[in-house]
Order: sequence, then structure tokens, then C-alpha cells
Amino acid sequence: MVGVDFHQLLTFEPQHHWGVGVAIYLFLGGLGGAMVLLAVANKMLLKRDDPSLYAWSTILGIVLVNFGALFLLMDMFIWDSFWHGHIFEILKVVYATFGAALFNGNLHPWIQIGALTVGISSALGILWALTMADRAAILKNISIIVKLGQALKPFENLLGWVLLAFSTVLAFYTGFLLSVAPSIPSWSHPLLPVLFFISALSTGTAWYMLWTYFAKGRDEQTQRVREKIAYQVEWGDIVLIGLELLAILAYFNYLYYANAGGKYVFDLMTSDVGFIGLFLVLGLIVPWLLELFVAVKHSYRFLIPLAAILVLFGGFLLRYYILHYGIYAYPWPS
Amino acid sequence: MSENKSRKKTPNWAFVIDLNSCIGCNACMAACAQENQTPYWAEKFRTKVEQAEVGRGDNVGRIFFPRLCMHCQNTPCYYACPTGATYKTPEGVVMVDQDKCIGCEACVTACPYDARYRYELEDVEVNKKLFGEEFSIHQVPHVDKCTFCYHRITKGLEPACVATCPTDCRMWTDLNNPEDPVAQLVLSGRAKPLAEHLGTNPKVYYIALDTSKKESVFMEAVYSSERSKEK
Repeated sequence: MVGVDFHQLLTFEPQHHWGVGVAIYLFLGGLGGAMVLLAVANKMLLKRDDPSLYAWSTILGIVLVNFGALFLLMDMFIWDSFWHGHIFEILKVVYATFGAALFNGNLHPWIQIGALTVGISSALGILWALTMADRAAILKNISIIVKLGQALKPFENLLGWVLLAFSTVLAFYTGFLLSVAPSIPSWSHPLLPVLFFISALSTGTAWYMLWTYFAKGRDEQTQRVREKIAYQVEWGDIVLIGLELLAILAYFNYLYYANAGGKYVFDLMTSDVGFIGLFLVLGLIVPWLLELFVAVKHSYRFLIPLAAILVLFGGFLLRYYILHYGIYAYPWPS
Repeated sequence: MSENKSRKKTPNWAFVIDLNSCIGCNACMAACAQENQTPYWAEKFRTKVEQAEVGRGDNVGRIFFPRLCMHCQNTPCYYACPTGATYKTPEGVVMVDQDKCIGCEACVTACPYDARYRYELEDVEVNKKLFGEEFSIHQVPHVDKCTFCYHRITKGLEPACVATCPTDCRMWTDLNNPEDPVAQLVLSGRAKPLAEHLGTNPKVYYIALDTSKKESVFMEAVYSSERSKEK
């Protein structure tokens, strides 16, 4: 159409269906999933023994995922029903979401896969953490938990391997949750699940950096293992943030060249001071440089907690901005 | 043999919109709101007519763009729905089961054509007051969308918006009947689906504005603005 620019043939409209509650879930879901995944991977694959770290990381990870799921439910559907006091509606949501998967075999939507993964991972995670209760801080003082854990001990390896698979899905599925929106260029982006997965692993690693910095081992051997883990997670996070920066570059490269909608979102995101300043610089580049500095200099370790907190901050902001810039490119004139 | 017969009997309904003849009267929206009890009081409609001004200065024109659910055959909303509330009829019409819908809006975010909206609890209550409890077709809050007036088309009637359109901008056909002139618009490729690149395979087809006709309001406005630029 001669003489008409593309703004007249496309309508750009921000989505307003999913808000901050969903961003909180995406963040806590990824973080919690990665905490569990890293605990199981350390124990099952690297064979490093630190029961307190693994048991508590798994329990806390599961608490965070489920706490985040409450925000998701509130943002998505329960809020109205809650305020109107429609308890039946709330039960209907829970039944419909799990029931459709269990009884109707309705497993194609990512919400459904996510709901099942959260449910199964939570149960497996608690059981697996209990198997280490006899040697984990605080838990070892509660006799009923220790007895339960001893009863589960024969299944420790089986639970660990199955949990490894489920926690991997838990850590990466949140990116797929947003991908079923073909007219939102920043969501239906093929790299989004990869970006969210790397970011989730990085935030999970930040939690391990905080733990290994503040919690000292009860004896020399545990402390030695913990120092090894600290060294591993610090270098691990340097690699992960490097990969995340690469993934973000590829993400924006694709947006820029994909289509008019992608270019529009590209322009908006790259001109947002909050996205560039808070997320990209403060939440990603600064902690990366801090971690590199500490790793190379072998000193100034007090910077590690600061870097970890900035990584967590950046992890949340990434999801917040991706949701915020969920902009429809509708194929009609405005 | 009997399978072939039943396949022939299942209609392949399609909707054609001629952008050259829409005059923006919004009669389609009114007819749909009345027929399907959509919450017009909250400005929510199953079908809408977008409009845009083109041109500059005194030489401006207005173009109209009717839109509705595209009833995609590769259906993003169906794949996003976690409870199976969104389903397809054997004829390929995409429907919502009110009782199964939990209002998560996953389908609303997935829809590339902005064809869905939330029928809120307040809307249900207003609707019951307006149409009467027993005649209200919206009994619970849910996500609502165009059904091609399924209750009408299965009785051999046209959708309400097609029946009411004064300029025949909206047309209804069965693509299994190639003799039908409207079906020929689709089968000949003159009418095309919207945003084909998304791969959603819609059942709504558009006849584009005829840009070769300088006398059309739209093109007059465009050419005028081009001429004023040259000066």
C-alpha cells in the first residue's frame, strides 16, 4: 500500500491480562526449580556431601515455587473469586487445573504441564530432603522427621534421579508458559525458554553463593566441601551470566530482524532506562564484574553477597520487563 | 463409502469480509450484542469494527476494519487452555464451555486476533437483569468469544452479523460448495486470511482494499497526501 507506513497497518497494544503476580511466579518458579535442581545435581552427579545445604535448599526451593504459585493463582483467576467469597470457584480452579490433566489427559498446555510438575516435584523434593534429615541442621533434632527419613532411606537414589528430571522441567518450563502467544513478539520468541532457564540457574546459583558465604560447616570436612561448592558456584555463575548476556544479545538480534512487531518492541525495550540501567547494568553486568573481580583477585570476598543479591534482583527484573513488554502486534490498522 | 458421504455432509464454514464495502455503521456489533448477550454496557463485543484515518490536511479518509474470532484451525487458544474449556466442533468452529472455564486468560493472551474477553461476574449479573435469569445465556463468569452464531448456523441460518450487514460486507459460505460465489472468493485466492505468516489457518477471509481504484476514499486520501508531499 503506497504511502502508508506500517504503523497504520498494525496495531500495537500492551497486554494487561498478566501482571506483577505472574512476574513474581516466573521468578520464584525459576529460582526454586533451580535451587532444587542444583541440590540434586550436586548430590547425584558430583557426589559432594553436604546434607544441610541440599536438604534446606530443596525445602526452601519448593516453598518458593509454591509461594510463587499463589501469586500466579491470585493474578490469574482466584483474586476475583476470593474477594467475592466464592470458595466453590476457587475449588473449581484447583480441580479443573489438576483434574483436566489427571482424568482427561489434557497435557498439551504448558500451564497444565507446569501444575503437574510443581505438584510432583514438591512431593518428591520433600521426600528426598527427608532422606537426609538425620544429618541436616535443625531437621536432625526432630525425631519424627528423622524416623520418616530413615524409612525413606532405601529410596534415596531413586527419588534423587526422578527429582533431577522433574526439577529440570521445573526450572525451564516458565519460559514455555509465555511462548504460546504468537502475536506477542517478546513472548513467542524462540530463545525465551533458554534465556529464562539460564537466568533461573544463575539465580539458583546466587542462593548457593549466599549460603556458602554465610553458613559455615559444622566440622572441618563439611567446611572443606562447602568451600569447594562455593568455588564451583562462583565460577559457575560467571559462566552463566556470560551465557545470559549472549542469550540476551541473540534475543534482541532476533527481535530486531524478525518483523515489524519485534522491531517495535526492540525500540521500546532498548530505550527504557529501567530495563537497561536496572536490569542489564545493575542486575547483570555489575554482578558479573564483581564476581570476576573476586575470582581473579582471590580476595574481597565480601563482594560475593552483594553480587548474589544483584543477580536475584536482575532475575526478577528480567521477568518483569518481559511481561511488561508483552505487546501485541495486531494485523489491522489503528 | 458411508464415511465419504458423512465427510461430504460436514460443512466447512467460512466467513468472508470485503473491506471495500464496509461503511462502519456498526450494525454487526449491535446485532451480535443482541443475539449473543455480550456486555455492550462494558464495551465488550464479540465482533468489532476498527477504524483508522488516513491522509493529511483536508484530504483525509477513513478506513474500516471489521474483525471477529478467526476460528483458527491451528488454534493457539485451544493449545493454551489448561482445562479443555476451549474446544472445536466437528465443523471447526472454536467454542468455549462456560462451566469448564476458570478465567485464567491464557487463551486471551494466546489469541493473535484480540477475539476474546472476560465475561466478568458483574457482567453476568447485569445480563441476568436485562434478559432475565432463565433467558440469560451467560450463567457464570468465563472467557467469551464469537461462535459464528453456532446456534443459528446449525439451523441453516446465517450468523447474526452477516444477516444484518446492510452492504453485504460480511459474507457466509460453505467451502465444500464450490458453486457458491462467496466460496469462490476464497477458493480463487481473492479473499485471504489475516496474518497468514502466523500459521493459524483462520476460517475468516478478507478481500483487501482495492488499491488500484483511485476513486476509493482511502486511495484518494493516500494519493492526495503523496501529491502534497511532492509539491
